[in-house]
Amino acid sequence: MAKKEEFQHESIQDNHTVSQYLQALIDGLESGTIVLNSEDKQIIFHPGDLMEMVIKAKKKGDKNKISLKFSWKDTPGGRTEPVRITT
Amino acid sequence: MEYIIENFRFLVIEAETQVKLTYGLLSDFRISVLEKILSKDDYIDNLKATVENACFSKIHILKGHVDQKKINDIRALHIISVNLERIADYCVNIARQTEYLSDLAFFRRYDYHSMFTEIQKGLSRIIPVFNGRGLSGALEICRIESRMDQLYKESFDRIMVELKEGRQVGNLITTIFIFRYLERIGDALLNIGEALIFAILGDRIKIRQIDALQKTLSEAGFKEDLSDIDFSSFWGSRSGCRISKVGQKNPASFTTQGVFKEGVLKKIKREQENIRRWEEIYPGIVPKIFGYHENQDTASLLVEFLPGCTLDQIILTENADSVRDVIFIFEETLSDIWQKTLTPGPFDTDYMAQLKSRLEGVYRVHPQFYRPAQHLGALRIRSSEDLIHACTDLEKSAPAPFTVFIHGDFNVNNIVFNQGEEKVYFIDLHRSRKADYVQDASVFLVSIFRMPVFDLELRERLNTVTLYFYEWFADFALKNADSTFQFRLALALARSFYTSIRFELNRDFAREMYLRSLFLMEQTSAHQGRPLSDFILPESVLFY
Repeated sequence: MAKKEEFQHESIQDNHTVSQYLQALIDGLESGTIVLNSEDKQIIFHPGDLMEMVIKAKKKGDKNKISLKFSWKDTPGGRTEPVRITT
Repeated sequence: MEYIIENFRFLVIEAETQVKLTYGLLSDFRISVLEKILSKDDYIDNLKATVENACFSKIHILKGHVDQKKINDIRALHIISVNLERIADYCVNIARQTEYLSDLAFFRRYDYHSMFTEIQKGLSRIIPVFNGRGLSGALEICRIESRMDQLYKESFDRIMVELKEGRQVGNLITTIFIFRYLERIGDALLNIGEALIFAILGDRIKIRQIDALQKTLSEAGFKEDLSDIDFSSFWGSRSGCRISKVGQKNPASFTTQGVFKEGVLKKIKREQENIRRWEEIYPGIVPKIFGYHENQDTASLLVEFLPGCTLDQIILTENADSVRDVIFIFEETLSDIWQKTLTPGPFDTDYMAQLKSRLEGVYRVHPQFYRPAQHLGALRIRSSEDLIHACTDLEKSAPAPFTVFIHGDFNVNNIVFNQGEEKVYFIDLHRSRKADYVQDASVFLVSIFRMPVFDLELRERLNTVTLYFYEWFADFALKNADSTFQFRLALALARSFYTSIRFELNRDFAREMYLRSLFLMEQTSAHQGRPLSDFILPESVLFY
């Protein structure tokens, strides 16, 4: 079974700092590589060309929540062109 | 109840018989006696089970008809029965050891008579003490244990010397075993004595504490028997102090109630000294001391019991007008104390050091509340350790501009309000000292935050009080030209939030406080290089 690698961060932040965290992710998405480190563990993501994206937002009374989710599968052999079948 | 007591009496008699037989066996070995001791074992076990069953079913029947005295008696009888059976078991153990002695005369060279005399004396007192409710008799039974320990030590030391000579090793080891069982019988007698005290006083109080209380009371001028005292144990403390409410059963002669505290010498001593200091600084703000007594490592203190409600009870249960009145009196008092004791001159705070010294306790309860150093792409996220380190350095550059005499553990529940007198009292004063008022301010604010109150309306009330006091503290800072108030408060709050989670088992609530602490440390450390007086506390951290 494949090894499960995980990164988790939780904090309370002000608006400005949350933007900085998001910007760090945007930079990674644009460059094609997101590196996450926690202590001596590192996970390197190469976001795919096609990604599933879910944006959820909830408001209930005084409680608010926006969650963003991106998921994708690594393609075998990296970013090679798919094999075309010609006739 | 008669059925329990009847079987209990049998059990006492059987234990006494077992002890007598064992003594006889050691003095004059006869195989018939050994067999008799061994054969009684099952019978005594059954007898104990009978008493135990009867005790539990009686408690079950009594359910709903709370007769506390009867329930206490049953509990005591049960504890005594368990220990009597244990004593009988030790006798069997001793009897079996005789098989390993090559010659009983070897054993008889040691003083086992004195230990048996003590045991017999103890056992013979159980029934009379239980019936007559004599506290001194119960204390006598308790004290046997320390004499048994002493007797054991004498024989033990002698055996150790003889063992070094290298002869009769087998006999010597068997002899040690026998003495060890006798010493354990002493421990069982202590449990029995303490159970009797429980039946008499209605409070689980240890002999050490009784001795301390007796001495403390005699210093307070109380001359009657301790059994005239009404004990009610009303809270156990987190910090290992024993606290009981003490009053007299007959209210006609001695009406004042006291709070009895017994614990580590250093802490109780400091509390006593601080109460006296408070009495000089601000007379009437603290309970009166009735008595104080020191032992080798422990001390005990008897202080006046203050009738009234703690501030947290008032905030949660009284109507808005009453809360406002109480808060008004409280803030007047506090302002008065702070103004009166204000001494100008810089004072180095140690909020981060306080945090560090309690981290172990935090991790014991919540090992996951630690943040490692992280990177999110190019963004560096500081570890909790790194944050504490950075804030420790920064704290050095922000001394408090003055000191006041602080409470030192300014939890809302350490403030008592007497509605009759319309007066505020401070309790739990072992940490009072000249220091930064921000220490008290932060402990006070976090003690409101961390109240496990999740009802929206009540939380709203807590948040209102928090905001009120935050502004009140800020106003005090402003009036006294304290320009780094917000910065120091952020550090002190980070400390209070982080250390509070060691008392909070609700993981989500603890997490909330832990994250707030990290946030405050991130905010303060990010301020490095800028004037500390510009720092603005993100005050929303104060509200839940």
